[in-house]
Amino acid sequence: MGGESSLSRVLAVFRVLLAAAILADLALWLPDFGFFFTNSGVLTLSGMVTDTQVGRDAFSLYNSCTYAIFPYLLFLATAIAAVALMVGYRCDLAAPALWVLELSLQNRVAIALDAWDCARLITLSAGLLMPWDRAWALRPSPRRAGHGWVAGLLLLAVWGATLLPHPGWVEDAAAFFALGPRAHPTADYWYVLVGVNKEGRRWNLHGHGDREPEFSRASSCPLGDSYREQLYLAGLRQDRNWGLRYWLAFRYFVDLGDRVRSVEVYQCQASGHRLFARWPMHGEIPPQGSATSPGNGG
Amino acid sequence: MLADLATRIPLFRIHYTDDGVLPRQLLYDNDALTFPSAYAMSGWEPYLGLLLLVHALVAVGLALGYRTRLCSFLSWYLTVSLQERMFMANNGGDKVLSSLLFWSMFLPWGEALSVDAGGRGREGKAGGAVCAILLMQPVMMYWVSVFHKMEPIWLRGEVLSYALQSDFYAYPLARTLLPYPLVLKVLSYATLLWEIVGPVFLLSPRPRIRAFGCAAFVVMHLGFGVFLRIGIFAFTPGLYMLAFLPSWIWESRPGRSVLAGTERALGRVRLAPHPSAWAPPRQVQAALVALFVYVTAIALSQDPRIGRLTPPRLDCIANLTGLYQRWSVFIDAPHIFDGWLVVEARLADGREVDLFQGHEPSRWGKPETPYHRHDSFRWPTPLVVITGNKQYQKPFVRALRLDWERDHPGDEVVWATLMLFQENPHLDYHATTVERTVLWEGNPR
Repeated sequence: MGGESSLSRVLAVFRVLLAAAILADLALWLPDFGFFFTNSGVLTLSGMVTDTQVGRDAFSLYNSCTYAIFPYLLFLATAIAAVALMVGYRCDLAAPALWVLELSLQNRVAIALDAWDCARLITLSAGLLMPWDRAWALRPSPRRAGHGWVAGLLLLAVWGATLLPHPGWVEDAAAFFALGPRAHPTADYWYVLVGVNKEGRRWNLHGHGDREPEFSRASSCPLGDSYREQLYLAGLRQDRNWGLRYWLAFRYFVDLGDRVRSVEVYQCQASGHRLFARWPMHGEIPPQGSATSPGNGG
Repeated sequence: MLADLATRIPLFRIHYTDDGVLPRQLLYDNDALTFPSAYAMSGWEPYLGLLLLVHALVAVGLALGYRTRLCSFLSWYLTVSLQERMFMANNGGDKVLSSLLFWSMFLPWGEALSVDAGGRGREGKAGGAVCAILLMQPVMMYWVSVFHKMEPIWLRGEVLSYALQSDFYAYPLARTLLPYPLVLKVLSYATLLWEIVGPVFLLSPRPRIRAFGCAAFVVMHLGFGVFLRIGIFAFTPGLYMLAFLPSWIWESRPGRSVLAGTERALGRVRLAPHPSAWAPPRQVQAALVALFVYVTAIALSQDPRIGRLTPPRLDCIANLTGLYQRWSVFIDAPHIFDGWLVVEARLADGREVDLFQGHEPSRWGKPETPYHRHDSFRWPTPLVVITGNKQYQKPFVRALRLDWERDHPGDEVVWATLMLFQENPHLDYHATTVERTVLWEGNPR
């Protein structure tokens, strides 16, 4: 009895912490929500299903409807399910619902994920089988017989084993995938945005406007100072169309005023930098590979 | 539902996948997914196959009355999901089915002759606004249709003379009626007259008159189905007629034996019952009545003489319930879509084939049937949309290419030309002319 009680409490703590981690992640998505989840952003639904096989096959509730409000409603539902899990309210419904919603969210923004996202989903999968609402729960689920926690741990082990061959681990960006772009110990790609006015003067858009452009890693952060944007940009070199989408979304979401006539994007490494693309702030985007758009991708 | 699924399965890959004529990319580019469709959540074919299986199982569950409330909701949701994923392929029968499934979610139809009721027949009361809506939905359908038919082509009795010439919509059997314009005129007027008067029969308090009205509507739709490619529209309106049947039919000997047989069959089903007696509260009933009024307004608005009756921002209600309805039928009959398509393709080895008709070599002459390779009543409406909209033409040819290459491994299509041979119908059906138009050509990759 005492043993079961201790285990129940441990599982309850596990449940609360996992739900808190999911809520924290949702909070981090909020500033960039439109940028990543809407069709005005970098990851349009159309782009996701055409540009990558993963995007085409991946299951996501976000793929099912084109109403502008729909992604917001799903996001809200995810938060509600996470709160329900945290307080232990009908976890038999909240946990599977949260699993589907979290999977959908991650598949919707697959290019801007890291290992922590995978870990969260795997842990949530394991938790589905665990009796984690027997203690400290507002409304426990009907009791399940059996050692669900054992099955859950086994599932955790199996998923962990299958995660190891994930391409994020075996390619050159393994550390990046695991720890995020800021933690990468060696120079990977980063992007610097340079504004150009009508006189041809240039300056870093992120930083002070009165200096010549710098191409150091410190100058790399896009205007939103967003971790997720960096993940996205790291994926830019994988796909040439996504740079264009980044730019379309950038123009939609960021108002730089009339001073900036065009923006140059430089792809930088420790060994140097090169002009990645040049796009006007107004008017039509030039076709890929044209004189004013040197092309995307590495 | 099962019959509907059976009609869609042969064309599933070419209609419902990203390799088909309507890939999700087009839906997203046009903001055309106005219902959260389960069939759009993933393009992975095993997922779609599994979803179809679940869809079929839900239909079986509904038939058995097992977990009726859940199956009712899932039936409606999956059916509308399927319809919205490939909106081009829908016709009136689909709208009848989806509306019937929606209204029925609020009926206590699991409380008798169901696994949930223990297989027993029960005297149950099902009154209230929902029943009234169930009765008024077909009445609205026919009367709104009549309103749309107040057009010269119908009032002159000429509509069938044009409609039955269309090889897209009419079966070859329909051509046997074309030499008899008087018969066609009588049938046109009879259809119009019956759609005006017939609903009055359905609403009659006299059981025998109601029974006659039901039978006449069933026969009318079946008759349509003999000559026209209307698919499930030949029998789905008959489902609504069940609601009008007088009780003496069920109390008669044949009726009682049907009920008894159903009870015996359900008694053999080894599933635990999940009874749930639920009646929608008054507020919900009031909301449903308002919804029905709104849906009627939407249906009437399809007529340009009336124009929009509801604000555009409320369209989401009709879309999210799957109740968006349009009951205009052949009102533009002189311009009805008629002819045939040829998708002439050149293979890597130099051969020429028709990717749509399946002929090798391709032929431009009028085929015996316009859908030789993929014969289904689900083609006419998509083809009308595809031939009228440039953005759908390359995906259409691409889908046919993928389909061909899948069935003919080693054959690689290097070039294709989409041609429409349009026939312009005349009252004198002998005097049709044919125009050839190249709609698209190029490398369909």
